[in-house]
Amino acid sequence: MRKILTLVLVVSSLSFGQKIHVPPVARFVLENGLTIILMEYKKVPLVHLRLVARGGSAQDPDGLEGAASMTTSLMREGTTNRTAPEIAEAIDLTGGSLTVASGLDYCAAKAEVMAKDIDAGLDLFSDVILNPVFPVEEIKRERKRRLAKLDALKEEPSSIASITFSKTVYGSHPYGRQSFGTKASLELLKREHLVDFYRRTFLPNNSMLVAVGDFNSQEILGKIKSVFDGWRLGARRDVSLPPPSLVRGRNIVLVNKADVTQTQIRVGNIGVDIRNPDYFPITVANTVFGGGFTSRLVEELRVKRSLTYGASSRFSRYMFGGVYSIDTFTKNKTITETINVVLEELKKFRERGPTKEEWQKAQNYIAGSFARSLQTPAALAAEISDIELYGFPKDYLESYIENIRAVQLADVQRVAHEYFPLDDLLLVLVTPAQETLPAIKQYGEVSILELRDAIQ
Amino acid sequence: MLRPIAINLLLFLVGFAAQAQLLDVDDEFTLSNGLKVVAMEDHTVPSICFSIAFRTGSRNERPGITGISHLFEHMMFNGSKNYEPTEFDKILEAGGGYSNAYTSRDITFYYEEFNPNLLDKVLDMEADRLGWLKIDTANLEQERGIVQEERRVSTDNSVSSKMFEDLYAAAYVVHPYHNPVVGWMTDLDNITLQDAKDYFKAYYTPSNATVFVVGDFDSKALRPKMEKLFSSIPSQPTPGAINNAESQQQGERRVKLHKVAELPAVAIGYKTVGVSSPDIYPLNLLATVLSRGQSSRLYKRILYELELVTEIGAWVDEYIDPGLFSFYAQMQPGKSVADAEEEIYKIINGIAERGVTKEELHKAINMAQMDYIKEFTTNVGIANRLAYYEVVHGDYRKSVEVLDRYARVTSEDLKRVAKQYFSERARTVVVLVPESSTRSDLGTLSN
Repeated sequence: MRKILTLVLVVSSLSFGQKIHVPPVARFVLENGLTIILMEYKKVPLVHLRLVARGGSAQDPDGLEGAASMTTSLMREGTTNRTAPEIAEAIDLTGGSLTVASGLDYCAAKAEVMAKDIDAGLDLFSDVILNPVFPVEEIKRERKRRLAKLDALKEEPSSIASITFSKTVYGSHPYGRQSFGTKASLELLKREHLVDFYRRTFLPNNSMLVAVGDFNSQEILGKIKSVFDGWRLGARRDVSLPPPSLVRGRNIVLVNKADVTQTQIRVGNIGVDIRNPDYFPITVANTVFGGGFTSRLVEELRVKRSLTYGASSRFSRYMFGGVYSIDTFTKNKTITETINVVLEELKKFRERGPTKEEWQKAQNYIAGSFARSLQTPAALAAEISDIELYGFPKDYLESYIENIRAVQLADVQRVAHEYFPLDDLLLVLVTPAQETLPAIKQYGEVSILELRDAIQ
Repeated sequence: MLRPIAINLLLFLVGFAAQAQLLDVDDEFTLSNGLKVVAMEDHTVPSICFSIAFRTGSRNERPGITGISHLFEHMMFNGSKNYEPTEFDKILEAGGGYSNAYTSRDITFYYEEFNPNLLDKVLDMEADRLGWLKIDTANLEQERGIVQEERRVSTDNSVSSKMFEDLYAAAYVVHPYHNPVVGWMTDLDNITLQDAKDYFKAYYTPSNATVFVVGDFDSKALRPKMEKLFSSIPSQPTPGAINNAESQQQGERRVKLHKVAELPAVAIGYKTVGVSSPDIYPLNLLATVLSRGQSSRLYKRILYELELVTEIGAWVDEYIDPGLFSFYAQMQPGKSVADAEEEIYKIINGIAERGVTKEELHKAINMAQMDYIKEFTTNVGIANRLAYYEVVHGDYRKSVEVLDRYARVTSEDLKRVAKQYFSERARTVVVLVPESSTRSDLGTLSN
């Protein structure tokens, strides 16, 4: 038995549900505006560092898709103190990890090292955040690799489907841009664009630094201050975006890939933004419909009909909008059977919502998964930075399960009708288009995209 | 968990004295029918992981029924004497839990995580399916279709997976490692109900399995519960040993795969050793030195300096019988597979001649240690690691000894194994020849 002296993460069973107690956090703001949040979590001798800066790929200038993504990739590829190979060597030597990457709403630098290596870890982590130099040679290298990766993507039906769905559902909205970069934009992106993106994004008064792990807060705070105190603040940019517009009617896109024996299918529409007040009932509704392994989609597509190996649905939420999507795949000759089942299930779910049994099962499932998801320092750090970034209540983690349990059956029925569209839908299929076209016309307006146009 | 690991890390630094205390097992016993049970309490989160590992996988299959181990794994969720199909997962999810399983060449592993108050129910369901699984046509036919979709998504429509399928098929002539775990499509078409019944009888006998329970429960109370529910499961003879009839490879095998693809790629495999050989440890560190992290030899030279490839990696199988030490590289447009191959061979020959640096060895050991700590962060991570060592290495305790083993490896060992195993005669190479989509239209049969 592995004994511990203090329980670090507890879910106590109350008569009406569970409550999560996470270790307390300490929050500090430096004079330059950098927010620092620390959580001592001593289950394993690791430290996870996470710096989040507001503004991500959605801020890519028009025609320069990939600016955020290239900027963050290049931050690891040379600083005023170290060359790219030196950075790689130093982090690998600790056995730890160091990455900088962009999402739609923010950029994040992450480092994870053993507690004994915290000094080396913090030194590297701060170096890539504070002192990147964006060497021209490294930019060329990264560009070349990305251009090749765009080719390689065309070999992956699932990625082709997801990228095409995202681009099409968002239309001209910045969330729909190919955040990895396109062949054209990667050629246009120059060092000055990366430097500019970096300067406007990586500012202390635009960032938060979260540390979770096996450390003493006072001690690590001193270390963090000593390296980040001198970070100069700057003017924060406005990162707000208009909301994306719903797809109207039934739109079908067939991406032509003549060699596949199985068709990847995505169905959905614009969903909800991160602050939507119906988040908890939507989460319960989606779990019933397409989350977990006993959802309606799994039951109807996989268990009853053996049409697929996997079927799921999700609400991907971002600051100013989100997407609702159903993912599945089936052999080419059962495409219409699969789509019919998906549409029929959507219709039933919209009309009647879940049963009482499904509603309760979903609540329990979400509660159990949520408690278990908080076991690692990395997961806790991500939750903490989301709370800060999106302005969630301070007791978001502690009250999460109560909030799920407070969702009434009638709430779920309401959101099932409101947020699971049926007549307004985008369908994306990666398929031998000419073979599939005749059977697919019945569902709505069809357009065919050649692979080279889908992944540009 | 905190204290023992902290102590252990200290030992790691001073030279590995006593490892055993890290693995603080609370109870271990074997039921009268041969089912072994290992119990380990961890009260960090109010959750339990129950898992059961069977000493079977695609290694135990014969031609004609390839894929049956994995197909059977699917069937285990579809109802038993006292539980209807899909009831298993519904009860688990309603109790805040989930289940999953995987099949590989040597092992089949089932696990579920759930809230502590569900333990008795889970034990009852697990005993019921281990003893009295419903093996009927409906169950088989349902999973046959699902597994065929799984094969289409994971292999038939995935270029690199298809390359690795071809690599093992070419490297092994008679050993069952020749076959993909998911099975050949035609075998999946033809597996019969009787095959499934025979398989269950042969390999799902209690003495061929070990149960690992990790998490928030009372181990003293577990033993009587296990005895009550699992002891009555009838035992069958423990399956006999699998004969490794693969003869020594005596020359390079080179295979071309023509497939619709954008970029050329190559997969290379060298036959090495099974896990009973101590050489598995230096081989593992060698794979790390070669390909893990951006400072690794292959990444730094071939991807970064020469810009020949978009991706490169190296892995060593840790299998019961000799597995492959394999490489994969995807080329940059316009670069040839031959150039990447030549550079890979230069690097491995360099290690065979000169070994690796102290820093490289130190780095590889640190990475192994980090992996270990991360696996020990969750109940399911612990159960998974113990089960793998129990079945493949023959004893779950070896999951701890492995760090000690790594710490003893020298640069000289890496040099020696590189020299010994990277022999052209033991090499198999799959070269991907990309075809354009229009061309392959003519030759494609849809399934």
